[in-house]
Amino acid sequence: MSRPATRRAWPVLGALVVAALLVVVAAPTYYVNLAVLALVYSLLAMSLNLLMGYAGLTSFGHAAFFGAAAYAAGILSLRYGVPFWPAAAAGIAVGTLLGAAYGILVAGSRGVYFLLITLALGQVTWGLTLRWVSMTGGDNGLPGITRPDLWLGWPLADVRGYYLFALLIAGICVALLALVVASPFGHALRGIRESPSRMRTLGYPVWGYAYAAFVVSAFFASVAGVLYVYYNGFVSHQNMQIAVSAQVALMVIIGGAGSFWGPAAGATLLVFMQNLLSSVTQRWMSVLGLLYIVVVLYQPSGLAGLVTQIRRRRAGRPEERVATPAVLPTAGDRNGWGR
Amino acid sequence: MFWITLVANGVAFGMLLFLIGSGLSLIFGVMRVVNLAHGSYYLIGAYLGTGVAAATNSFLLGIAAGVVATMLLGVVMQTAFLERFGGQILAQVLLTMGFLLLLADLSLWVWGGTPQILAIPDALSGSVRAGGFVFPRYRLFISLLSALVALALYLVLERTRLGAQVRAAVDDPEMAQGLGVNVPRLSTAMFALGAALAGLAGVLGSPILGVFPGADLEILTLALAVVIIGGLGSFPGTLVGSLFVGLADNIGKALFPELSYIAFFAPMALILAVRPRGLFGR
Amino acid sequence: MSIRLRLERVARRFGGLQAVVDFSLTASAGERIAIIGPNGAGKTTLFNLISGELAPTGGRIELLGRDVTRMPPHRRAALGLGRTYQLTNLFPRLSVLENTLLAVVALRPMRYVAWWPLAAYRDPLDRAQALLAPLGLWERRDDPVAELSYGEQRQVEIALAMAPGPTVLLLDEPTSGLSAAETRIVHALLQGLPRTITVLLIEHDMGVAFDLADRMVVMHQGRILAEDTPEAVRRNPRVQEIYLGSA
Repeated sequence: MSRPATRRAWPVLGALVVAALLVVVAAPTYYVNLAVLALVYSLLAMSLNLLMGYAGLTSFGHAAFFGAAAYAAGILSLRYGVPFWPAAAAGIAVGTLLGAAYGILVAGSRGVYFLLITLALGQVTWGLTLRWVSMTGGDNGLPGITRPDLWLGWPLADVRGYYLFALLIAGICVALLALVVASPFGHALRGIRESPSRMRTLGYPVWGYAYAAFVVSAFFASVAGVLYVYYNGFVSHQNMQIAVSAQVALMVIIGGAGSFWGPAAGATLLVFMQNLLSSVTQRWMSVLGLLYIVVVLYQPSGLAGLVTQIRRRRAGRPEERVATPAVLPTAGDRNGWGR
Repeated sequence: MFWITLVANGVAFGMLLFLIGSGLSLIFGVMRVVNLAHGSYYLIGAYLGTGVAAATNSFLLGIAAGVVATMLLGVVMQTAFLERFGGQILAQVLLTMGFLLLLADLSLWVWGGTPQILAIPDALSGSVRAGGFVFPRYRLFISLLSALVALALYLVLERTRLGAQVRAAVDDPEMAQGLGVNVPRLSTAMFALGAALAGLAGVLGSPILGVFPGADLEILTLALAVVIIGGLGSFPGTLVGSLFVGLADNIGKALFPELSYIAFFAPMALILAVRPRGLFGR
Repeated sequence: MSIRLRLERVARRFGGLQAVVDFSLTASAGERIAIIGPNGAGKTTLFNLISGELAPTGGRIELLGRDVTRMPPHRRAALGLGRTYQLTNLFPRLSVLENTLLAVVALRPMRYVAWWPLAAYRDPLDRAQALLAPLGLWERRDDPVAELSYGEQRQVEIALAMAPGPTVLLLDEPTSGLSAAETRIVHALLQGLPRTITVLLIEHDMGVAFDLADRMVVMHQGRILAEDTPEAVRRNPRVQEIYLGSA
């Protein structure tokens, strides 16, 4: 509905694409590596944003799908010598199917119950992978996954080549997500975020929408997982932990839940911060812990909220209440939808 | 013999899980807060208790140190941070995630990466023989002590005014506030109690499980399974859920070590599908 | 005349409280029934039972000849049931137009489309304009509903219920909290509803209720106290005593 906003977005989008392509040519290899990670986590954060920002369903178990897809592709490639494309497809299928299974268990919940159940499912999936040593390598993870030997005008084994490949895949996924968000289905998700009871009496099968959103979100998280495992060449239980699920949620919050590009900005910021800071301090985990606390205390509406605030101040409008509830749903949602 | 040991260990572990799960469940019940740092209380309690007990040569002082420190930690978290964000579930869960990371990193800093273990005090080492059966004395001690705590908790919840207020708040926090229950103070009390119980579990668990980086997450995961199986905010639910997870985890580990999580994951998924609010949840 | 809605001895208990007791009612096509009664009489609970947001603890509900007693709310809506809420229940952070579009496409197959922008569909937009323009809200279509005045929100509330084209409409205190001027606007809006729609109206403004209703049901403590024409209800001494009061 925000057509003027879309029109304004075109030059920005063009500049982004140019900048993204410039990275390949101009940036030192270290930063190209970071850029790949930024792409992977941007896609993961945007997939979570579909649930958190649009449907108002705060999942704390998103790493399960990311990790399951990464493990599945990694195991197939490493243990069974499956080539890139079928292994990648199978990885995405496994992550999405896991989403389809867990979706049945969570689609009827809402608010803090949804959070708790997704958290528990994610954690148990993590524990399962950690102990299934013969398949997953347990604590040691799975090292030695090699990048695909493909040639798309550039060898993928080279990080710059892989970056271009990741950019292409992430670009396609983001375009698909943009379509979903603008579609009647995407609008219905926002309606569910605002008032599930009204949606139900208007005639929307709310359970089905929540379920579909969950599966779609798991699908894109799986794509990110496969992109990750082939980039990193290594997957371990660390990629499935609550720390990842929470960090992706933090990326969404830092960027601004419900804003389309915000989570990608949050993801990029966090990836760069993590890698640049870890090179100067051993205590990255503490920094991250403090960051969680600081974000909640000082800027709960994220970068997108910050942008809105600045715009309003520029426009000379008085201090208006920024829509913080947009980002931080309340326990008031707990009157679940249907049981 | 194999089975008896297995069941005894499972019950002891389950009772430890009860100490942790009951706090998680009460905090969720009264405040609707998902406390990700709940496993961290266990971790801090275990490290501190182990350190103090080793330094002073007193198991009791170790317990006291672990319990008091985690209780203070819980109270500070609640009063200085969580309280202001009442009802904002995402803000609260992110705060507790921040504490999870801070406490994990802090313990890694202070105590390093090598697992530590607390020696079983002499009075509790060895085994008890009863009609041909042999029980490790320490595990018996854990089970009995936890059962005593459970009984005390039950009596407080069911028989006292405080307990009635807690039950009212679990049913409906807003209604309870309206009826004159001081929910913020009750919340602080629940945090103090929940953290202290998790800290106690940490000290008690250290001699049999050891304490190591990552124990916080393993314990948190099991405690989550406990409250989901049992039903949130339900006392009998937590007890049943704890014993079930404790037994399933131990027996699973012995029978099919690699897939032991399936032993309680499958029932948990089934319960979620059929009774989303848990076995005893409403 | 065909029966649109039939309630047979419908009941709902909350713990020990009987909110609705043995409530029976039939409503024909195009009929307008006002339900009045003091606060706590069970009127909104009754609406929640009809819409499916609450399950009855006894009795049977038929909508357009079909037993819907156990049917979830969204499927009742698909049969042609619409409702408004006493406490405004909109999508606060979405714009007026987005609110209306959600209601317009609620029952169309296109609601499942996830691969094509909603903005690309012409027809729902026209329908939304047709609904909003008479209310003077088309100019404000891009404002979030949270920024509308209370009176305007009440009008959007009704527009949303009308949008999918219901055959049975439940209106829960459409004029509550409105100024006299705003009440006149909503009153006129309700008078202008097509006579093909069956309307159940909970209303505290007696002027509006007596004017709109063909038939009145007086509820008291979950039961029907009286059911008659507006004139007869007005003269009924028991109703005057219990509800209209001697004040």
